Amino acid sequence: MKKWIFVTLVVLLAASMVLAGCGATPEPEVEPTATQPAAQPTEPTAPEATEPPAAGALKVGMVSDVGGIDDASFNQNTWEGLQRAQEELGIQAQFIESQAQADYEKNITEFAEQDYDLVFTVGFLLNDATAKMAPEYPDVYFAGIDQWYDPAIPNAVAITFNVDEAAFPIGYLAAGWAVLQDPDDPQIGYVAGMQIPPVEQFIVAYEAGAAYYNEQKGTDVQVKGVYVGDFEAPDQGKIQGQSLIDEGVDIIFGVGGKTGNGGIAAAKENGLWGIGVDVDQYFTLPNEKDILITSCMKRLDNAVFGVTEALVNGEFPAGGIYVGTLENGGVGLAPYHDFEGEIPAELDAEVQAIVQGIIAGEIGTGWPVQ
Amino acid sequence: MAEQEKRPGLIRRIGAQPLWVRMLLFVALIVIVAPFSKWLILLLLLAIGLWPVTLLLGLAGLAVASIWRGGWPWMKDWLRRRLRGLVVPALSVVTALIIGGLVIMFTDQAVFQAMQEGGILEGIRLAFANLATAYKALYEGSLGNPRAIVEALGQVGGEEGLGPLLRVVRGPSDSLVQSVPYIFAGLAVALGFRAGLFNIGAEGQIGIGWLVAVVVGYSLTGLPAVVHLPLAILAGAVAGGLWAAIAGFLKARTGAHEVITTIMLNYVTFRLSAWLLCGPLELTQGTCRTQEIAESAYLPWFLERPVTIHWGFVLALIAAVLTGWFLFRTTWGFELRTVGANPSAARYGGMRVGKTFVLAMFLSGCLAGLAGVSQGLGITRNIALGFQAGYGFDSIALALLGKSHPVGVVGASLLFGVLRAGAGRMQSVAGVPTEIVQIVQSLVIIFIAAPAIIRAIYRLRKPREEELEVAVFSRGWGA
Amino acid sequence: MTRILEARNITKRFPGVLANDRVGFTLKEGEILAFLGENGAGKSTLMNILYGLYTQDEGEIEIRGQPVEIQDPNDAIALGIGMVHQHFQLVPVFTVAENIVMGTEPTRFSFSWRLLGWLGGVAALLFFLGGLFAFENLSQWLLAALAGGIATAALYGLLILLGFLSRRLTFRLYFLLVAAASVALLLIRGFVLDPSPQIPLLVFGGLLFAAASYPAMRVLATALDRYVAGRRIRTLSKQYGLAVDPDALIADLPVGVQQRVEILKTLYREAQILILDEPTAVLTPQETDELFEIMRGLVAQGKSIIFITHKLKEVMTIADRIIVLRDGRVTGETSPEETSEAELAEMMVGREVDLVVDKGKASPGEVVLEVANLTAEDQRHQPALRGVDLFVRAGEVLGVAGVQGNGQTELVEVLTGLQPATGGTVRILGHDVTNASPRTVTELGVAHIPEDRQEDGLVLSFPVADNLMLCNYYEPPFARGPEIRFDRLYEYAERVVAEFDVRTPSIAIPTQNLSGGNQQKVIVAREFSRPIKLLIAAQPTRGLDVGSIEYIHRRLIQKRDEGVAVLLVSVELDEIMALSDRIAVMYEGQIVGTVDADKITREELGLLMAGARPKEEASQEADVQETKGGIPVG
Ligand SMILES: Nc1ncnc2c1ncn2[C@@H]1O[C@H](COP(=O)(O)OP(=O)(O)OP(=O)(O)O)[C@@H](O)[C@H]1O
Ligand SMILES: [Mg+2]
Repeated sequence: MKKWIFVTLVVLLAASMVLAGCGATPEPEVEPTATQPAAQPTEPTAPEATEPPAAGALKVGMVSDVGGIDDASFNQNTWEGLQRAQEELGIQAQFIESQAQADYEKNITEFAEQDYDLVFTVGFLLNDATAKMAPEYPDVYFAGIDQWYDPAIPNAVAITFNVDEAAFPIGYLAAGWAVLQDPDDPQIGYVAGMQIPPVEQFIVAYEAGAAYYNEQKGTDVQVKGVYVGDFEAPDQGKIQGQSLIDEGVDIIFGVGGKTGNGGIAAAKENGLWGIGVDVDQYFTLPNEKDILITSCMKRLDNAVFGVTEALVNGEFPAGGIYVGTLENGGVGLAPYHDFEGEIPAELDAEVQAIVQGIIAGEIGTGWPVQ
Repeated sequence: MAEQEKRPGLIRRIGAQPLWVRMLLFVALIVIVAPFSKWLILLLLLAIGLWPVTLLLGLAGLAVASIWRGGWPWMKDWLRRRLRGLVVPALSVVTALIIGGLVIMFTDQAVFQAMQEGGILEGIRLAFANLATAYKALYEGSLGNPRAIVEALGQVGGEEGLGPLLRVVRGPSDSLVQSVPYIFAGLAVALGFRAGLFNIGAEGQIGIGWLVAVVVGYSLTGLPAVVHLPLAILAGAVAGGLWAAIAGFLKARTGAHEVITTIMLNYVTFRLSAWLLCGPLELTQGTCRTQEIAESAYLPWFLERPVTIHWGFVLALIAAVLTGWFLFRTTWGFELRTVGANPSAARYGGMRVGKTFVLAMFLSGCLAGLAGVSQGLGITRNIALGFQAGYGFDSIALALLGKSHPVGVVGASLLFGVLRAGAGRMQSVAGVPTEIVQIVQSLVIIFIAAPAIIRAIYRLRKPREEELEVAVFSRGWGA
Repeated sequence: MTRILEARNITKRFPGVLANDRVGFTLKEGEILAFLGENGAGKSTLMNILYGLYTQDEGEIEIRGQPVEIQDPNDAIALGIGMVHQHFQLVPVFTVAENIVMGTEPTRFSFSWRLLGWLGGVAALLFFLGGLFAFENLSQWLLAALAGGIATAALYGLLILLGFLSRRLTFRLYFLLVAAASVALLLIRGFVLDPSPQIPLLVFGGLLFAAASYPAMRVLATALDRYVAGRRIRTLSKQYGLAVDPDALIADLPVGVQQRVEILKTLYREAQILILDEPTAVLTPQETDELFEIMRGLVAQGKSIIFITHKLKEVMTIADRIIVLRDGRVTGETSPEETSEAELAEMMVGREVDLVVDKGKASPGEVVLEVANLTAEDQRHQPALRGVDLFVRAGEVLGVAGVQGNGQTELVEVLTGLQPATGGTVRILGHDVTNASPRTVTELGVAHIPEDRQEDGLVLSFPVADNLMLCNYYEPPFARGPEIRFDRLYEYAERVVAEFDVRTPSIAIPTQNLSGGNQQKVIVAREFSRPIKLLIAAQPTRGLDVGSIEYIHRRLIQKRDEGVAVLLVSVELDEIMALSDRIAVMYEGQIVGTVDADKITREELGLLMAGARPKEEASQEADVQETKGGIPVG
């Protein structure tokens, strides 16, 4: 019985080689499967190592945190920015995925020792390691995403995001949507992770946006929500989301990793609506994408691209900070996708006006809290 | 050569001394050697980086030694005895690397694209080129670039001081640094195995040890290093030990299986540490990490950046020696091994099985805790959310690979350390995911756990010991 | 009668031992050939060679005149050899039928399979080695492959030089794996992900099917086998008179029946030659008789049997021919008609053996062990001891007789602290040790030879020397502070091993490598070498040869004469009769009577053991009184 399996194997070995050989020649029109990243979470592919770096090309490295490069979140988003920079700016980019806290410094060293020009370190967990390593390699530029250096480091830039600028119009949009769907008892809600400032920044602005709507329209849209206290508890998020819905909430803003996703899942089960966070979750939540009216995006890719471009142009804001805003595309609202056309043009126009107002500094987002 | 002849005699003579004499000798050795430790470590790193030279020197030494003792037959016998146990592991590594190489070659889109465009030969050429780049990076990242080392040796004494030399031995240093937690955790699991206990909780005990050591490291200030450092180390070890002893105690008292309890304790640790780190112990709000430890609690480095090898490595080796001594030379170790090998016979021999379980779990936890301590005091110098690195789980495999023997565990840990150290460079240079290294590690484990595969592949002869293992089946009253 | 098996010049060496030294014998069709020999004479080794568990270093085996090579048990089974080991190889939670069918699938590679392996291997080698160095064109690739080949050959050369490799070196399985992996990866990545070409998809599907169908067919075949097996087992058990229910769980069956299952297993695999290694050591006399019936039935139908035992009586009853081994060599061949037990014993041991122990009259001293109204449960929490009363005085041997399973095991375990008592008291030398720890009991000077030596008495994976300190490793001379003084231990072990004639090449080898009887001697040596006041010996001579039995019996009596109190538990009536000064008979968890050894016959004892009330009311009454109604002064 085993014999014939083996015979097949050997024949196949030969056959596959032959087939592979001729498979290529007669069908030039057959394209290999598409690999362009677009906004889709495709698997990140590294460039060919064999290609000699273009003469004088800048070398840019990226050290991920323990989430890994394909986390469908900020690590991946950062890498997408670098890939774009690679295509458009002709830099050479590479990344290392950290396996643990103890690897951060080692991985930074790896790039620094290979004489990279710029190293991105992704996530606030790498804050310490970056602050420690940057002075050791004064010839290398560092950029820390979601980080803060005090005192400032001459060869490092801290990248932060004014997410409140995006959360405010989203609060407005959500309130408008709730009024539209449930005119009798419009309520909007959120399911958040831990109650820490980066999360509160979303929530405060979201609430402020809803309040602004009430102010403008004379409505009384309620905002209800919970901090679950955990980023990794989709089950808890779902339970809390369900109880919000039981109280009459019509749309849920999920803020905070998997916990927030749980809240959105609860909305889906009840035939209600949700709002994603950080990235355009239309692409990362295939189950719930048809109920997401938008996402509150932190455009790490834009920020990374911007910082890299600055380096290429010799305008690297070393020693300073880079703030992602609505204006420079560092934060933003995701497209409506399936709700394109369902959101009244009027509401959309108001939202766009608010965006412009924030950019112009005419509208305050309520953050930082006075 | 006369010295070589005397050596075993000398060791045996030291071994026959009372315990305290040996301890004194040991302390004396450390004190004498410590001032030169920097140079010794540098030498070690160079020896690793230039291992072919080291190997040749060793063989030459052996050949010279053999002249006095019967020439080639003696040398052959000596090598045979030393290498016998290494054949299967070495071939496992080679095979795993080959399979890992195939994965590298044929999981790359570009290769298939090249095949479509330039024909199969072009694709295969690219695949092999990728493989070469990747493995070269893996090698340089973990063992250094021999040519660069030789060049750097030539520059020693130049105006840059040790700088160039340090840069080229970073690979070997990283390998040793990476192996430190592996050694501790591997010893922990191995010790448990010897007592018949399956300590799956090393991961949690590492966390506890790390956390406590760091807290002791920053909360006490103003102490001299000679007090502070040992205190922090001890605190971490004991904390890990007590944590593990819970499982031992539950087993002894209620018969609760340690696999279950240690897994559950892992979860407790993860949640507890997450809460502590983003709560009471947090540096400032939103950072999810503790303060830095005081300098007096640093596990010192031997050299300076980028060569990060620290005293934790030496501690790990000492721990291995102590574990071996404990298991095979003491009455407690005898009890522990008896309980592990045959609990009924242990009871018959008057040993208290329950007590031994608790003791074994405690010691196992101490070792695991030390893995955390070495990371916390030697590398990160604080503890942050996301500190788990999977050492605790890998260590189960390490204990198996090392046949639950300290020497084996150290060997296996060095291997894993090497692979892990090279992974970062492989990714940054060749864009090959670090997971490849995990695949290779897993394959090594599979091959060593099922040596029949390797033996069948390479047609190795069944060793004598194996025959005995088979024979166990046929024992009985009449065996 | 034709020769079915012939062995010539079989030699087997273990490190330090010559286990078989040019052994030769023939087995004829339809006969029972008994092997006799001292512990460690090499009987089991020889049998393991025939069954393929070991390979002989020298010598040939012929079956029906054909020279054969037996590499492993599969070969042996294919040649019609079956073996029943002392410890059964049965899975307790499976049924009889499942156990019998288990592992009957063929597992060897055929020749053409190997050949194809070679071809695939060479292809994969070229494919793989070529690229270890990046190449530019075909000739470079070939050159690189050549270099890789030479390097590999050099590596292998080194390994062969150092003796790590077997003679035939083939890369086949290795290349097979590589070939399979590369084909699969190529197909998956190159074609399946790219859906346009149809043919590779089909090819890949075929491959998957091939791979998947193998286990599926295995499952199907096993299920079919089960069904057919049940019917065959029934026929077989009828044919050979082996009454077994194929659907019973092994765990529910008594030892004797389990043994039948083992025999059935060999018959199921169409064994013509059955090897039984000490099958009677754990059987009751009745079960032994039944086994002999079965054996007679088997030979009557043309099977041949090799039978090993230490009991000379059994050999005289059942064997057609007898071969005696000593020190791995055949020292004699005879048949029951031509010889006697005494003669056999002499052939085995090489000297005259006293089959009767000569012992003087006991001079009992004060009471050492005193048990009153002791109750305990067995593992299933059923009452096993229902109020045991007994006492043992210094300088006497109290034999506890009884059919196995009447509470003897529990009695010994409770006395030695290994199992809790549920009621009653145990006093040793005046100390109350009811439910004391084993260590307390040991430290009072109690030695214990456990019934199950592999379970309780030894750590099989430890060296002989370590086992010799199992009970007092923590005391001087073995311990100094926390450390064990191995130098002292080794000195001691050498001495004791020599004194008790434990046949082992070294005190450092794992105890499991000792022959069964020598393992027992290790325990005896350990327990007899300590200063003791009370000896509790359970089946002390199980599995020992006559010479060793004689020796241990003498030592036991010697201990008695030194003033040690001895509690002897044995299922061997002869042993009880020979050694005891008084005999207590256990039946259903109670002592039904205690009698002076010289006032009772074998037959009377047998009746008592079966639960009958003693005939002589008066003497029995007196004895019972003595045990029950308190302790004699002393
Ligand atoms: N696996 C082994 N490794 C080393 N020595 C062994 C091994 N198996 C058996 N021996 C040695 O070979 C000799 C013969 O052992 P064997 O088991 O054949 O004896 P036996 O005749 O069956 O004795 P017994 O009647 O006690 O069972 C013994 O000295 C034993 O120590
Ligand atoms: Mg035997």
